[in-house]
Amino acid sequence: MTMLDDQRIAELLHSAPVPEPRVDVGRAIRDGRRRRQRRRVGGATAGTVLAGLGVVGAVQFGGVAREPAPATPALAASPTVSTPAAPASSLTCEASWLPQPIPGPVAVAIGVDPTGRHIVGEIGTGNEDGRVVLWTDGQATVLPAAVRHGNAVNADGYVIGTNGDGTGWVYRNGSLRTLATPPGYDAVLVHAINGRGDIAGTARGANDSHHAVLWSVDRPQEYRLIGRPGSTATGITEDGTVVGKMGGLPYRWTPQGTGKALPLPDGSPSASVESAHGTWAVGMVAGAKKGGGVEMLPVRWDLATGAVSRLPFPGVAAIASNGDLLVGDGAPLVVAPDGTSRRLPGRPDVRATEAGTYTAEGISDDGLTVVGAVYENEVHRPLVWRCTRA
Amino acid sequence: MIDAEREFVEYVSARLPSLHRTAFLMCGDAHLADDVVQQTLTALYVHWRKVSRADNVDAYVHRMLVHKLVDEKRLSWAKVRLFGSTPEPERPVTPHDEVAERDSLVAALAHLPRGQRTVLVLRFLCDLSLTDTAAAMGCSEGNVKSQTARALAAIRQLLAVTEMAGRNSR
Repeated sequence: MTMLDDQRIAELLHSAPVPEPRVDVGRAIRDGRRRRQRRRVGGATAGTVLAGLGVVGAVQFGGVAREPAPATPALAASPTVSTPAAPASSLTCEASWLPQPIPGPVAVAIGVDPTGRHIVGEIGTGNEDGRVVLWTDGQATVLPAAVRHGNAVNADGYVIGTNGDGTGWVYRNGSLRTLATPPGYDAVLVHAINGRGDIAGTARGANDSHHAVLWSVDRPQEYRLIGRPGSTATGITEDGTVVGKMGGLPYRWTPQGTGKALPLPDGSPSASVESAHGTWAVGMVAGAKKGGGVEMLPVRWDLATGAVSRLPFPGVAAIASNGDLLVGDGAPLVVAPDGTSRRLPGRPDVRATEAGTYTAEGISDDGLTVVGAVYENEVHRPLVWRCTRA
Repeated sequence: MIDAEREFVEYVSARLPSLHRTAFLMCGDAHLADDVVQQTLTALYVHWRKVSRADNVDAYVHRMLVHKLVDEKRLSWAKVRLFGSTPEPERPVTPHDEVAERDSLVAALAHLPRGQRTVLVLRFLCDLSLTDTAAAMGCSEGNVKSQTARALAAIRQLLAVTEMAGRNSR
């Protein structure tokens, strides 16, 4: 007879192997905030400390603010401390509303293509009924009702996303196509698309099986698996470099499929990559254990040199190919690779001043176009910031 | 407001792994555990101001988690298992060692009726008191006690079978 006293069963329950959680705290806050709006519980919910992680599915524990990470000398700015006017003050930025072709209290911009011409977003009630919207040169198009959860758009205006049932799709100019789900898997999560029309994502199946996948807009019913089973792909650069995770390690694959682990910062046991542009990738690393949980902190990889650095922000929304980091928390901030930063200005017609009134989610390759939303009077409105060099 | 949200994020950051472990051990399905935890966090965010003032926040959150799990399962196997008997283990035997015991615990849990499984997880993993466990499950303390006793007996039996089979195979 096994000795199984109370103490022993507690130990066993604590040490039993369980799968990694795939829970998105950022999404819980967004959904919760929308639900709260509908319930009108106790007034406005202003403060967002949430960076814009638009994607669903992978372990996304990073999109929300925690204590600032240990500061690195190169980037001494903290999102909670106002930064001095940057030398890049020759830039003039202006926030404009994006037109709303259909009504809905939750209208947000989620991503922008590298050129800044195309913006993808969503309009709905916040009750899982959002319609995908594409703004091209300021003109709005509502995508067919059959598609949900748009995730990204490329320079040619191809929009990608994943429906609630796990079907991946690609849309352009009235033409909607489904992406193949590889045999043996039930669902895909489509994360990123580059200018060549390569689409990166992850197939998921029973028992938490998953595999990184590459599709092409030309042949959406064909696919290529990347890495070994257990891999995930979350980003793709213009040259076709895929980033993701394999065996608990952050990973990159060449366009030919040759994989290599990305370095971990000192003392971190694991990390995940969230997106990549140009020669940069951003992600989250596991930090200190804290109250039974593990703190996740943002990092940046220079894919050219292989260097990894921690970022002194609670979370990072995106990185531009020129290295500009978009910090979406509180008041949106763009931080250049040299450490100089600029706050994005507000709209004169927005009265709310709480941190979190503005959220930013996407940035163009030159760092000059940023997209996001304003939350005021229980309504989210989509917004674009455009900066010009004086 | 900001402080409340920060508090929420801090609480959830610290508790996510254990909430997920709880959900997974209660239902044995990774996807369902993800969904249930996701829904619980959303509901928790909506009610955070109220919940954060509760005497025992963890107990309150576990109650939400259990209710979500029951909601999810209400139409499927919950009723069947809740009133069903404990089946004999069907698992192939594994050599008995620490790792096998941990793995087999998950397998053994799968053989328990949902109520027994829930009491074990809440009482021995989440360390909830008898009172809090009863509140989370919406039943009496007496019910929790008897479920716990039966669950422990069943688990002992299931693990003993594994252990003996493991010995025989050596």
